Amino acid sequence: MFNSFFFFDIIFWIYLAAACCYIFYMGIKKEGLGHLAFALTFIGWLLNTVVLVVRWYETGRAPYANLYETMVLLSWMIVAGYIAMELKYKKLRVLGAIIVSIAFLAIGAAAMLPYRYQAIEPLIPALQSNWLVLHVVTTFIGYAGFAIAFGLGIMYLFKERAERSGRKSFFDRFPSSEILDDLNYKFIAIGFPFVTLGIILGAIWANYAWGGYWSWDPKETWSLIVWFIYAGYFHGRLVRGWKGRKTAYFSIIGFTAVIFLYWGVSFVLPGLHAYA
Amino acid sequence: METLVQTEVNTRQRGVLSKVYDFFSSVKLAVVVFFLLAAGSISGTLIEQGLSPQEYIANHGEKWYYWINLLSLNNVYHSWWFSVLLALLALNLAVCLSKRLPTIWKAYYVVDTDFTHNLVQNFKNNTVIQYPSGMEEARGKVVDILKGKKYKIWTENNPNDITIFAAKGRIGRLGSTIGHISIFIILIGAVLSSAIGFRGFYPFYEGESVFIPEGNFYVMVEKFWIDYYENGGVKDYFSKMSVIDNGKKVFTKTIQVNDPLQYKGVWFYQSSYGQAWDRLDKAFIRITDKKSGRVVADETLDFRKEKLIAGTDLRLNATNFLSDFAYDSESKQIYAKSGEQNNPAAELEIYEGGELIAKPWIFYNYPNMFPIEKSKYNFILSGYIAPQYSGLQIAKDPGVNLVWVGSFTLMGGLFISFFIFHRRIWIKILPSERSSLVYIGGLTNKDTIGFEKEMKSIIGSF
Repeated sequence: MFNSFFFFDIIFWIYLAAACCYIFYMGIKKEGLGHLAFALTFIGWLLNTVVLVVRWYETGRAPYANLYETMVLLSWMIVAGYIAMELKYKKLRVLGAIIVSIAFLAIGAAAMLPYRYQAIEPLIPALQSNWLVLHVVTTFIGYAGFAIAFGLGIMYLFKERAERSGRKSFFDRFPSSEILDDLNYKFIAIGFPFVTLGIILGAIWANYAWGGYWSWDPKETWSLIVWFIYAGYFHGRLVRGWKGRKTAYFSIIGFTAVIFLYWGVSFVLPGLHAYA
Repeated sequence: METLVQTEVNTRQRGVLSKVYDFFSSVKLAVVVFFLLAAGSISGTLIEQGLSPQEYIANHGEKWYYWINLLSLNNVYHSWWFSVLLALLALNLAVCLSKRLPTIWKAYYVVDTDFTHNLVQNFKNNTVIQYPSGMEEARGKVVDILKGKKYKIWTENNPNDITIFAAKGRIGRLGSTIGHISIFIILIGAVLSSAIGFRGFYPFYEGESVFIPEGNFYVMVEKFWIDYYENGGVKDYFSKMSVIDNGKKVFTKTIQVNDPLQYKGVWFYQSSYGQAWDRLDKAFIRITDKKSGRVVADETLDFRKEKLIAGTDLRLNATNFLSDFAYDSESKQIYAKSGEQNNPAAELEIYEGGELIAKPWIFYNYPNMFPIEKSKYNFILSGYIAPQYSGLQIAKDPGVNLVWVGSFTLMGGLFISFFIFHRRIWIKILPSERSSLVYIGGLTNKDTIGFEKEMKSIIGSF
């Protein structure tokens, strides 16, 4: 009964509850609700860890081999990033309204996958390598950074509009647009080097397993496109001095491409990466 | 007169050159090239690459195939225009780098001790502190505080004031330069890979030694086997390989997926396996009497080995095999259309009374389609055993090490650029009545909010 699917079902509900608490906390200014939201998030994250550990035990290998398993890993990383942010900047608690929601959506999407994507399958020969862990973990740290930046980008757009109108609004409790913009940059600055490292580790592994570091397989090609988009973000920001709305849009477009890279390529475009 | 003309030509030439220079260093060019590269790459993931013309016509129609062929959309990543775009990118990169390098170097290198207190007050982060003792004491305090924050400090005692310049994390300035040079290195490695690298697929049969011209030695798969999971899925597959150099067996290694063999810079990767499409171990032939339909014999033939059929005057030899028989009417050639066992056929030499009377192809799926006129027998391919091959990817890539060097320095450049910030502080200490005035101003290249916090903490330490 206490298998990984059992704990998975629990974190689905806990993340949902945490996200709701954060959203209500945004409207009702009760600190108790904020504490509850954070406590739920933290418990959810601990159980998320349990899912990964139990799954590891069940499969007898690092549980990063298919879409379902990597989604659990992604939500774990997003929430870990969020908890770190909340502990560092105590006043930014309302950000959970969007970021914990994104983690919940990741778990929800994993829950909706057909069973054959969730089932424990033995590893095919190509995946039996220590490079799997390195490649997947670094890539997903990058994805998590981009996911959080995406949430911050959306919040920025709402907040900036509310600031311009000057009227009282729902978004008053958001941190100032300047802080959102800075955090957005920080998370992309974490995501980008890790995704780059993930691509490089993938290339090293591909060279070792397939005999070529780059095969223009759809996953590889799309990872390069994502890399170009975020490279464009940095050039705009650091060379041209873009700030605020332009870079917020960039972080949204970039993450849309990440979603396509992650889900779209797996389902729409067949290739060497057909397993995840 | 002559010199005047000379100068005129010079300025005109410089005009053209600087225009070319401006063109290649423009951000617009970079944006356009990036956009076209992205669009081209996407098209390559949407249109399947490397199919035959017939397949494109079947999938997209004749009209679209014209465009696919014209724009090399069937081979995007190796097309001339993709190469041109990559070359433009490299050129743009090089010119931009050369243009920005002096500025970056200056920001990295220059220690600025020649400024006035007015300049200090121009920085966004600046403040004036009244320090209740003399200039030397104030200087000692400033140096202590900045040392505590791990700043590198330069001080200068002038006749009327004290100048202090402090900086840390200046290597952060070089991150982007290192990163861009790295991409250049990776591109050069990729060009080497495609120019002088070699990558190919070869099916190995047990016991057969194969000459590798890229390394001037032989390799042999001694044994190939597959391990299965309990549920029947393939767990892994292995080839026990030996390298034969100069007639001597140099070494033996069992390779598997994710564990290749390397010898003299040539790599052998276990990549697949399958049933042979052009050879057999055994062919099973059923011989029937044409008139009575009676089975005369069920014979097992070894591939390419004549066999006398007992009780008859027949001799048979299975000389060829194709797993997916096809005939090209233009070149009048027969060939295997695929590696699949879709239309297995064997070529059979039939000797009757010591004389070759026919050499027909007989089809496993279509028995007795072409009866042999000269014979009183029918010959049916009733079964066969094709050997299993071990599919190896063979590669020799001298460019790959440059790619790894570039990747390594790229990571270094990114981490330096993103996580080490160049923070500079300018300080001027001026005398005041029984105290001193400390002007502090600072600048950071990144992480403004973090720097503001640090400035507050510095000022609070007085």
